[in-house]
Amino acid sequence: MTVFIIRRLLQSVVLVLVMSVLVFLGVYAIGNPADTLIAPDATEAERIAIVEHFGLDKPLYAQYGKFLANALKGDMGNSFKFNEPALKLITERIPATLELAFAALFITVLLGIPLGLYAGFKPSALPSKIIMGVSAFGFSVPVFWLGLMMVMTFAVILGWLPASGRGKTVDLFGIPVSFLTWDGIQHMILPAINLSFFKLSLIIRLTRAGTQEVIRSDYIKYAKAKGLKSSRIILVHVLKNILIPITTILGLEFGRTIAFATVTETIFAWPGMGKLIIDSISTLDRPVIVAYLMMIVIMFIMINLIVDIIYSLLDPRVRLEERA
Amino acid sequence: MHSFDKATTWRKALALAFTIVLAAAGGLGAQTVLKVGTSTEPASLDPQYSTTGATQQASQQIFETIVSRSQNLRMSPSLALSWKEVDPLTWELKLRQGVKFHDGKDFGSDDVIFSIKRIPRVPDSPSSYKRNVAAIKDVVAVDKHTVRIFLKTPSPQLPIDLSFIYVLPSTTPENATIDDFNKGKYVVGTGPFKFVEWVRGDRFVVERNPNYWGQKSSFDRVIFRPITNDPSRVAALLAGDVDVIDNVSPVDQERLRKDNRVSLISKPGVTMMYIHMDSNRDKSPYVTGKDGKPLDKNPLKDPKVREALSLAINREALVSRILNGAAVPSGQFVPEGMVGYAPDLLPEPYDVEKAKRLLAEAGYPNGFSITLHAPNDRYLNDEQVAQTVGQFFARIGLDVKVQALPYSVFITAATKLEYSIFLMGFGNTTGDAARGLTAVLATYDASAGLGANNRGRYSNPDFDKLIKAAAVENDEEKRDAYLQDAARVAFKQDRAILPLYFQTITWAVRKGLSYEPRMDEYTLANKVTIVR
Amino acid sequence: MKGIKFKDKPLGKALVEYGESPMAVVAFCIVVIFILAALFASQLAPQDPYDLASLELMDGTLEPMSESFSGSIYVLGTDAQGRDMLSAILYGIRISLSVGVASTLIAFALGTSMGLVAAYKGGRFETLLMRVVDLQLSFPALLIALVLLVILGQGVDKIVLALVIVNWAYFARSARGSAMAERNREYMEAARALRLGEARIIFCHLLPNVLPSIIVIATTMVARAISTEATLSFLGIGLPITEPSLGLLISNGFRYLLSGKYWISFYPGIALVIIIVSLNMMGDRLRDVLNPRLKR
Repeated sequence: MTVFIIRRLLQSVVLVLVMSVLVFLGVYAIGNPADTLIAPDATEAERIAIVEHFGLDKPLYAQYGKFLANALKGDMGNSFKFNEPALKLITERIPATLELAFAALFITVLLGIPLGLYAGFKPSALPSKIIMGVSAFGFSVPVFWLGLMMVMTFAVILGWLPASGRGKTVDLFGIPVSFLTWDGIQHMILPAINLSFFKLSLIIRLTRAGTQEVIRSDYIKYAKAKGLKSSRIILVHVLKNILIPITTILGLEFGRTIAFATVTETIFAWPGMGKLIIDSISTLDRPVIVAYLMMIVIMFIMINLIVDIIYSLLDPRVRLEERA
Repeated sequence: MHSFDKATTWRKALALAFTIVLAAAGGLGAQTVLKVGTSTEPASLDPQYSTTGATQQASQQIFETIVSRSQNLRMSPSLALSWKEVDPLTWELKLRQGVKFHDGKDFGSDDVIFSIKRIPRVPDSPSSYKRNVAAIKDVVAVDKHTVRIFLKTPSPQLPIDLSFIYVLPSTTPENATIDDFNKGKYVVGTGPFKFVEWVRGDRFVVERNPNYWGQKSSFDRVIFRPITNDPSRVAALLAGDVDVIDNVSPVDQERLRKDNRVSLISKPGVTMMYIHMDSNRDKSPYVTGKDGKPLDKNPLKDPKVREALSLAINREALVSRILNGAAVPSGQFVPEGMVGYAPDLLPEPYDVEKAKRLLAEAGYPNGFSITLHAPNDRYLNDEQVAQTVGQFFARIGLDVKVQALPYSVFITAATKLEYSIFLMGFGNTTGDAARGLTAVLATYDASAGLGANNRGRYSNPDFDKLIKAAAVENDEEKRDAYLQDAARVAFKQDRAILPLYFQTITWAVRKGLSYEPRMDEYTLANKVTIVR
Repeated sequence: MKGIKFKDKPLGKALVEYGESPMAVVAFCIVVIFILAALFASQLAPQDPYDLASLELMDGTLEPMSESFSGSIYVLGTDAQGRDMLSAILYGIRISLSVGVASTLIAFALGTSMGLVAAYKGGRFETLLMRVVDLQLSFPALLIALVLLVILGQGVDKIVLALVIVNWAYFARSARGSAMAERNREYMEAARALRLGEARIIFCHLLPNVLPSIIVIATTMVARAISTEATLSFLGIGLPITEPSLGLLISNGFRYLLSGKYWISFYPGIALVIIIVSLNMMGDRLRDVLNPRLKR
């Protein structure tokens, strides 16, 4: 196990490097950051000064080499736009995003698995049909549409919840969090629901599918025939059967939520990382994009590592050693 | 604190009514809070870091410039009471007395000198104020409230430049970092508000400066919240989360106009939208015959074709249909009232028959194929506008493709002259036609700083001569005449670019509040007032 | 006689089984109708919504059933440009369906087979593939689409490519996850003991057992691909605005929702919801029919 984890971490170093190269090539292909950064009425001399200042006139490999040399010293560079360390800009925003992502994950797991189990056990009951109908709806509705509709309904018409923003935050171990104040929770409800809607639908479906499979399987039939009615046994079997796909999906979705909650964060003016990355991409603020995506790669590696370890805990048939 | 959060919409309306009553009664100890939903966010709180509008808007709340720009972009006294030319290379400024910085320091000549001299030393700015001090050789104090500015070359535009120089106290340390500013350490100005806190992406909070020399704010505290998404900003206003929002999009105005809880305030702005054409090259990448084969010459080089394109555009319909009236059709670079405005240059009339005739005369009776490029995340309804212009061109027999792209992609390609015809905008923030004409239409010359935005490479020596004459002319009237003549050459004779319209900027405020709108699009909390 | 024979073939059996659920049949019919509508859009639509010359600006934002400048009727109203919504929806279905289905099928085939091979073979190949997956998952769709836009230009095929690049990793990761649990089961041991070919083991034995959960994901991925395309178009890096997909119609009309011009966004939205719900119902039924473990 330890060897497995260490090997995985070593691989991640390579991956982070590959990512940084890809981002450099990508930004280079898209456009010249100087053109998006300068004032629209800047003179040619000002433009050239900016190009030289950021080293954009040098060949790409030279720019990358300089970046790498600084990165090895722990300096990921300053944002072109804000002239502040890219890492600082990103870390400032991590708490807000993490908080929202956890809230969404919470909703997904807490509602999705029970509803899916119900729909799987009683597929022809009316509530099951409603659950499945709503979950189909959950896929079809674009996130931005749902978000604004919720704002219009609950904030503008009913006036129950605030329309946007993060609300009051309290410092917990020096990190600002909003789930400890009533005001903060109110602000979090709508964006968290908006963010979890798709995942919830997915988890309901996966759970239902797994459940149906198990209740028709031989051992359950056998158990039933023997007169065993304990739903506990069924539950254990069901959960065993569905947990692997669900863990995979939850891991992937959690990662996606943290990394790319862009649309929800924009609609709810949530001060998280999703907004930062979309702004950085649209201004081609390369240092921020590179630092951000390198961090996200590490995050995905960690999540997938944890998921792989969970596999082996859930199902002893899964062995972790990667046969060389 | 009498803030408006934590209440239902209903109660918030009441709360606002309550604060107004309190304010009317002389503010019986309750604190009034104004919440503003903004579409943008500053890049930094160092007022000399970036010239972008979003950053200046934040600076304007706390700092003041040496000369101020009025709501109609006229130069008016601010920290400088008066300015006069001693000789073409020397100006003298009289400064306002009795002004104090937020930290108690008295304002004087030393602060003006410090602020002017600090600009070239602000590091790493992508959009620097250096150009506003480029003409200045030296600044010296005559006495505590008089300074003299020595120039390298005559510069009739000096007062305009001074209106971009924000004044910091001379006690600001030389090594103050951008981080110090962003944390508020040296955010000390003379303006109507004092810094309280800034959490990037979430809120920017200021409080009233009780010692402000000018009109004091009606509010004890102002909270700016960046809400970049247009419908979300409207929703925040309707839900009572904020009291004022800026940049209301044309489609949302329709709905807000019907809502009696809010009122709309509009003002024609300074951003001129236009169609730029590749008018100097013999071959243009995105123009072909209708069969897809290259043409033997570039039709856009022919003024007749450009006139035909201009006549094909129904500007009135474009403005009323696509922008819901939130624009003013234009026939030149600047709106009425600005220096260089030529009264005889009216928006081109809509005339499809004449356009077709001109095309035929130019040798294209059956039209040609063309791709119109446009940004899609930069200007008011830019993508729809491009599509509509494409529709108009199709009506006179051209085959038109419309490609709308993110600004980052668009501007890089446009700067590399990869397009044939494209939609673009220019903000005349100086209140004067010179900068726009020079940047967009003067013959491209990097070393002379001319034609930086001339991505169609229009070139006419007559035009250049007039622009150069205006640049060194100190007499306001003569300068105006030169600029008007230049405009006539470009717009009437050559149709170098096709002006479409000026964007109108709209604010929405809750009933009971009022806002003094500005041409430069800034949302200044000090200009929000309570109406009785 | 013939019927019985047909029923005995595996495919026929599956089809008959599929037909036992009336809802699934309805869903199938709806999907067929939509596919036909998409195929014959140019014959069915009263207007060519892609031809800028045929759009009359004066007919902009007309309500459903209003009369046009030239006397014809706009059944579902028009958008700001004067584009007939009915025609735009018919053409839009074509784009959205082909983008959603094509990108998902390709990503599904590519991702699932890679994931299965990785799980079955293990070793270097698995390590390498799964790290590429990690990398891919961390790369935002926005950036991929932007790079492709610059290098290849705008177009439906480029969007499909972008979506395949974004989504294959999802399938690879899921398939490998499920297959890891299967690869040590008895039937796999048996297959290996029989010395069956690797390809046969993977695709005839491993795949059917992994398929059920992946089909659920696949049907939802069609929806996600369509809405990702909508979001990309919304962000300005999708399809050309003059050739709108359903998603682009929704996001364009979305801005008019607040001002009461519901039809610009509502009808494309309804069309999208119906397609996706039907596709999901079909997917659910297919999963039940094809699942070896659900066989009595």
